[in-house]
Amino acid sequence: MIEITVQESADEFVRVLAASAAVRAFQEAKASVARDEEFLALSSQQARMAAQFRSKQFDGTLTQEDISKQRMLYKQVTTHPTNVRYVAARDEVLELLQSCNEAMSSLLGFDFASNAAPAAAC
Amino acid sequence: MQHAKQTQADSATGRAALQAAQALARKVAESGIYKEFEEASTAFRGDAAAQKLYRAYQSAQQEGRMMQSWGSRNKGIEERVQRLEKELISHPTYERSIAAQEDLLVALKELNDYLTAKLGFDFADMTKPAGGCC
Repeated sequence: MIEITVQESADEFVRVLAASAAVRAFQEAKASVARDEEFLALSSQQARMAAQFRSKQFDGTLTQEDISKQRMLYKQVTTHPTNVRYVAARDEVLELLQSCNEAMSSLLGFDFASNAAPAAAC
Repeated sequence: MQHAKQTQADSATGRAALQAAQALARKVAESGIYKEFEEASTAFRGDAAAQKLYRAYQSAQQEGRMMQSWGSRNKGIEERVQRLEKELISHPTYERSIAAQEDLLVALKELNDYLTAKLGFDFADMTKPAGGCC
């Protein structure tokens, strides 16, 4: 249960962040990714191919054609305008969020984000 | 001109965000859970008997790990590790500091869940320093 004074400050922090150009651009870019069916299909095709690639690598059945196909798909995903926009917006918002985390961490005496983040799934 | 105005607005928002982040951290630092964490940690660091026990436990653990890395097992060391661990976790100042640490972690995760629900992205997960898995 969050203490009320902490909650009030959290609300103010969220209000300021949500009003920033970086967070707004990131939210828009995230929504664009979710709306772009062509990009989502390409991205899931690339993920499927990457899994097959790893299993072929493990079996020793990887061919030059597999490598070329994987390279081409990877390039198509990374240079897709929706992805380019998303990555740029994410990088910009990360800069702002990391500065905020540093400001919080130096006051608390430990890294806020590392301690508050959900446990990593391995 | 338009770009200069935008940059000014961005740096003003950036400053406001930093101030809001600092204000939030100050409120966390004033909370009962954080104060208990600080007091319990200070008490543990200042408790000579608990520190001695903690060092003995760490050293026995390290010895056990070294034996394991050489592929050998030593029942005596394993028993010593278990005995010291049992003594340590029932030591009042250690027990208090661990409980306070766990309570603080729960509170931080709750705060992050709150921020995440409002922002629509996981603040801590996105922001934490990159690191190896497990």
